[in-house]
Amino acid sequence: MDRLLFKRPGAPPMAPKKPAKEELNHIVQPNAYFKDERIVQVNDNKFSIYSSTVQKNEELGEDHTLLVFLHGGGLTSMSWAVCAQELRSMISSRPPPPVLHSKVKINTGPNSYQTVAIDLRGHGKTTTTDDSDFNIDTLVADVNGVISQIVSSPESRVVLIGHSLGGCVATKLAASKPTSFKVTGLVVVDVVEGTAVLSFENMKQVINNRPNKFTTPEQAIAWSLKNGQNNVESAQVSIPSQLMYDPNNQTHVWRTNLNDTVEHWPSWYKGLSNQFLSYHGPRLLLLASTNRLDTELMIAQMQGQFQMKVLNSTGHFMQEDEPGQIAKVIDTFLRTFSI
Amino acid sequence: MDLDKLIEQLYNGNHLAEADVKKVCDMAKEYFSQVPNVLSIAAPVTVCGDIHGQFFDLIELFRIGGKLPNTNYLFMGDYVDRGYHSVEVVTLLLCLKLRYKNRVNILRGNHESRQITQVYGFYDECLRKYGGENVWKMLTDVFDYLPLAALIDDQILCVHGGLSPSIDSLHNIRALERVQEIPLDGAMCDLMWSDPDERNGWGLSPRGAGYTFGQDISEQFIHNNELTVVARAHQLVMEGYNWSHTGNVVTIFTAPNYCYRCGNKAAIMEVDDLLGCSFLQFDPAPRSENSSQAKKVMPEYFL
Amino acid sequence: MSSKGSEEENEETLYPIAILIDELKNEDLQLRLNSIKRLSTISSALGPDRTRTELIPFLNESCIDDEDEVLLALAEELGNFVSAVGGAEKASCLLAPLETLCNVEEATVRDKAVKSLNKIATEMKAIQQTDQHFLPLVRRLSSGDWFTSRSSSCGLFAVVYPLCNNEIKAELRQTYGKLCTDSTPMVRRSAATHLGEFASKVEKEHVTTELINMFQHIRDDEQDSVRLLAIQNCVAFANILSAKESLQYVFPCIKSCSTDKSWRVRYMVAEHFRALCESMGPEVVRNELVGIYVKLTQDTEAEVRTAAGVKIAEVCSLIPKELLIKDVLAPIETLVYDKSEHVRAALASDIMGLAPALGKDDTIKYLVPLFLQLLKDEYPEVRLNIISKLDVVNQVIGVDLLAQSLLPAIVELAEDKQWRVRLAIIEYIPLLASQLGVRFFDDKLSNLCMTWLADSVFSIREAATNNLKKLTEIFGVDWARNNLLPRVMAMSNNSNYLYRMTTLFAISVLASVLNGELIAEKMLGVALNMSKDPVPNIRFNVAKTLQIIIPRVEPRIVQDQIRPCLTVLSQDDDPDVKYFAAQALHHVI
Repeated sequence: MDRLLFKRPGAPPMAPKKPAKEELNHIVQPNAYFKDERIVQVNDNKFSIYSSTVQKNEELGEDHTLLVFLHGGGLTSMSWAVCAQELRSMISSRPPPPVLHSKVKINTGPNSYQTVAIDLRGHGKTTTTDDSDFNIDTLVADVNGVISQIVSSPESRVVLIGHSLGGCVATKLAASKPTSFKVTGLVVVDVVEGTAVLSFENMKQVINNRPNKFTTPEQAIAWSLKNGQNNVESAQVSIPSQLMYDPNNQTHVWRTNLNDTVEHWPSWYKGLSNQFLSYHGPRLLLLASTNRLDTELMIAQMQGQFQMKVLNSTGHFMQEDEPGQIAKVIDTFLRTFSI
Repeated sequence: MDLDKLIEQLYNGNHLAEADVKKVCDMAKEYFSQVPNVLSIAAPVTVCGDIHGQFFDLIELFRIGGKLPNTNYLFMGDYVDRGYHSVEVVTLLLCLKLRYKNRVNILRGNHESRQITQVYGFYDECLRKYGGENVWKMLTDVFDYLPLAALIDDQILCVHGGLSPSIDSLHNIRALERVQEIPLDGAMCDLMWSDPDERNGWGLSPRGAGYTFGQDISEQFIHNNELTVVARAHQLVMEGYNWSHTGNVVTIFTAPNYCYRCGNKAAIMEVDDLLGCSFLQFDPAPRSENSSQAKKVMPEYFL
Repeated sequence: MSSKGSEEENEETLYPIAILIDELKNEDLQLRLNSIKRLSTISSALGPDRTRTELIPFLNESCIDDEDEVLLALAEELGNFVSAVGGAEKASCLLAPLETLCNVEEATVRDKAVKSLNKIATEMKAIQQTDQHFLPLVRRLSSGDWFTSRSSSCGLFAVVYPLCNNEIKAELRQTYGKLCTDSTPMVRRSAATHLGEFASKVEKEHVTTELINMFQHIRDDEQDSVRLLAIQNCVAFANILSAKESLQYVFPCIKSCSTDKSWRVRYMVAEHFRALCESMGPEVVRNELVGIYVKLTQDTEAEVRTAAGVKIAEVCSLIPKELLIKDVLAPIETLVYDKSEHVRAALASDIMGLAPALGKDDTIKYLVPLFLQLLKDEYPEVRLNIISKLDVVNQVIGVDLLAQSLLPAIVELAEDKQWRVRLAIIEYIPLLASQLGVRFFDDKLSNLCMTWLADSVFSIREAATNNLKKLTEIFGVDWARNNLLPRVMAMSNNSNYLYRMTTLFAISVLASVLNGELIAEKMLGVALNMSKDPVPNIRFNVAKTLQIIIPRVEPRIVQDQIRPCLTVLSQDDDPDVKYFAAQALHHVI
C-alpha cells in the first residue's frame, strides 16, 4: 500500500462546484430578459415593471393571459428574470395541447401570454411615498393597483406567480377576489404559513449575518454564490438589482432594509394557508422540501385540493436555483388547466 | 425461503436484510406477473386504505381487524412515503401476500411509483436504511406488477383513486397493459389519481393528475357494470371513512393521525359474508412513532 | 521470489483496507461514515506503528472539516483506539485529533470528543506523566478564543485534577471558576453541567470555600438555561457536604429555584425532587421540602405540575404519614381536578403508589374517592392509568372493598369507547371473579364477558376468549357447562365469520380445562358442523381446533368423527384449508 493513499483528494469531499473566476465578473442587464421596462404610477407611487409578450406557435387570437411574477423579500423582479425567459421559450415552442378525453369539457386556453414582473414597494427600482410600509395589505393593494392599470378589462385573465413574500402577496390578492381582473390561476413558490412562523428567529439571524456592504456588485455576486446560491446566471442578474450605490462611502449596499420588514412578518404569513385554500381556481404550490407543509395544507393536499410539486434539488430561491425546471412545472400547470 | 421467519422479524419491527428483500421481490414479481389487472375476490374481506409507512399503526390495524390468516384483507395501495417505516410496511405486506396468497391482496396506489417515492420519502428511507438505492429499485420494480383493481363478489369494485373517462367497463381495465411506471395521464393514471367530486360530470383534478368525477358518472358506471359500490382510498378523510355520491362511493383511509400530525382517525371496512359493510375506526398505536420521532421542522428562511 | 510472494500476499490482505481508506475520501457521505465506523479494522491491518504515524495524522488533516455525522462517528471511534495505537504509552497521539473535534461547532461532536478524551485519560492514568499530556490540553481549551473549546474544556477537569500537584490543582480550580462566569452562556452551561462531577474530585476544604462560590454563581446566573443546571448540582453538593453544611449552602438554592421566575427552573426542581430529598436527609424533608413540593403541585405552569404529579408516590414514600395526610393530600386533590389533562394523566399514573404509604383504612378514606373521580375522567389516558395500577390498591385494601367501591365505575368502563380501556378491564376480571364468587359474577359481570366475546375489535374478542379459561378454572366445570358453553356455542350461528370464529377459538381455549367427555358432548359437534361453513377461514380454523382437541378426547371419537371430517377438509378447494387439515391429520395416530 502506498503512502499516497493518505493524501487528500483534489477537492474536499462535499465542496460545491465553483465557477471560474472570470465568469463572476459579469453583470447581466435586465433588458436581456424583459423587452420592456417601464413605470406604472399608482397614486403617488411609481412601480417599476418589466414585461415581454409571447405567442403560442399557433395562430394569434384575442385570448390573452397575463402572468404576473412577484418576487420575495429583499429581491427584485430580476429574481424571476431567467425563469420567466425560460417559460416564454417553452410556451413559444409548446407541443400540441395534451389530448383531453372527449368527455371532459374544458375551456380553450389563451393564445398569448404576457409575462410581467413587478418590483414591490421598497424593492428594486420602485419608489413610493413610504418605502418602509411593508404591511401586507399595502403590498397587496399596490400589486392590485398595478395590474388594474395594465389589464384591458375586468375579464382579463391573470395568473399570479409569487415567490416567498411575493407568494404571500399573490395568495392574499387571489383570495380577495379582485374586481378589475380575473385571477385564473395561483402559483406559490416555497412559502407556507406554519413553517414560516416557526422560522422568525432564524430568519432574523440570516438577515443579520449578511454583510451589509460590498465594494463592487461582483463581490456581492461572489458572496451570494458562496452562500447557497448555486446558479451563476441567476446570481448575475438578480444580485446587482438588489444593491444600490452609496456615493458617500463608495460602497454598494442592500436596496431593501430587511430589518424594516421584521415587524410586518406576522401580517405576511398569518392566515396564509387558509387564504391559499379559499382561492378556488387552479393552485400550484412549489416547495423545496416536503417538510415545509403545515398541518392545514397537509390535510388539504392529502384530500387532493391543490397541486403540489417538490424539487428537493433547490434551496429556498427555487426559481433562481433551477429556473428551467421551475419554468417547466409552471408551463405544465398552465397547459393542464388551460389558463 | 422461510417467509414465516421474515414475517416474524418484520412484526418485531426489524427491517429485512437486503438479500432477503431481493428474494421476496423476485418471488413477488413472478407471482404478480401471473395475476390479472382486476382481481376477483370473495367476501368476506376487510378492506383497507392508505398506510403510508406508518408501520406501528399497521400492526394496530391487525389488533383491531384480526390476524392473518384468520381475517381476509384487501389493501388498496399507498403503502410507502411520508411515514418513517415504508420499507417495513411494504415488505411485510409482500411477505404476507406471498405466505397467505388466498387471504390477503394488495393493489397499487399512486405512491407505488418511482417518481413519487423519490420526492415523498421512500427513496430516502431506503438509502438511509440500506446505504444504497438497490432496495428502492427492487421494490419499485415490484410495484409495476401490482394489480390495479379488485372486485368483491362481482359487486364491490376497489381501486386506489377512482374512475377514468377512458374506462367504461371493467373490460377496459382488464385490457390495460399494466406492467409499467404509472403514466402521467390515461386510464391507468386515472385509476390511481382520480377523486369523486360534488360537481357532476368529469372535471380536471386540482391535483394536476387524474380527474374528478361526479355522482352521475359513478351512478352510470355502477349501473353499466352491475356493481353496488366503488370503494377507494387516496384521500384523507377525518373520520377514516366517508360515503359520497349517496352511497355509490366510499373512501377509506387507514393512516391514523396522518404524517403524525393531521389528527384524523383511521378506518377499515369489514365486508361480511353477505356483503354488508361495517367500519372500524381506530387511533394511532400508543407509543408509536407519533411524538417521539416526528421530525422537528427545521427553521428556514421564507422571506 | 519468496519475499515477492509475501509482498503480494501482503498487498492482497491490504487490498480491502485500501478500499476502506478510499472510502474515507469518497464523495458519498454514507460510504465515508461506514468507513469511519470500521476504523478499527483498518488499524488492525495497518498495525500500531502505521496507525500512529500514518492513519492518525491523515484523520487529523482530512476528516476534520467533514460533515457532523462523520465527525461524530470519528469522535466515538477514537475513544476506543488506545490499543490500536499501541497501548496507553502511545495513546497521547490521539489527543490532537480529539482536541480539534473539541473545537467544532456541533455540540454532539464536542460532547463525544470529551467523552472519548475521558476514556483515554482513564486508560492512561497508570502511565507516568499523563498530566504532561492532558494539562496543556486543558489549558489550551479553557483559554481558547472560541466558546466551543472553552465549553469542551469543562468536561475534562474532573479527570485531570487528581493527577496534578497542589499548585496546579489551585490553578485548575481558579480556571474553572472563570469558566463558571464566562461571557458566553454555552460555556457557563457546560461548566454548570460538570461542576458536580468536578466537585466530587476536589478536596472538601476547597469545596466549601471555592466551589460553593461557583455553585452560587450558577444559581444566580442571568440565563435560566444555566440556572436550571443548579438543581443537579444541589444533589451533587449535598452528597459531598455534611447535613449541616447542606442546610447552610444547598437548601437556599433549592428554595430559590423552586420559586424561580422561569418555569423551566421550577420544573427541574420537581423533576429531581426525589434525589433532592434523599440527598438532603429526612429532617430537611420534613421541615422544609414538603412545603416546597406542595407549592410545586400548585404551580401556575402545567409542565411543572405534571412533573410533580408523576413523582407523587416516590416523594410521599419519604414523608411521614401524618405529614402526608395533613399537608399533601389536599393539594393532590386539586390535581385530580386540574384543568390540564396531562397533569391529571400524570397523577393517575402514580397516585396508586400512595396506597402502601397510607395503609388500608386511610386509603379507603382518602384515596378511593380520588380514584373514583379519575375513573370518570373524560380523558381516556387518565382512566387507563388508574385501571392499569389497580393491583397496587388491591394489595392494600383487598379486593372486596375494592370491588364494592369501584365496581360501578368498572362496569361503566367495560363499555368504554377506547378499546384499550376495555382491554384493561378485561384483564382485571378473573381477579374480581375469584374474589367475588360465582353469584356475584353471574349477577353483575357475566353479561359483560359475553358482550366482549362479540366486540367489534379483535383484541377484545381474543382477551375475552382467553378469560373463559380462567373463569372455568375459578368456577369449575359444571358452571362452564351450564353457564358458559350454551352461550359460546350459540355464536357459531353468527352471520359474521369473524364472530363465528370466536366459537372455535373458545373451543380451543376451553379444551385445555374441560374433560374429554364434556368436549365430546358439548363442543365437538359444533366444531364438526362448522367444517361445512362456506367461508374457508372458518373451515381451516375447524382443522386447527380439531388438532387441539385430538389429544383431549378418546381415540374412538378421533377415529369415528374427527378423522373423517379432517379427511374431507384435506380435499378442500382452498389451499389453506387443505394445509391446516393435513397438519391436523398428522396428529391422528
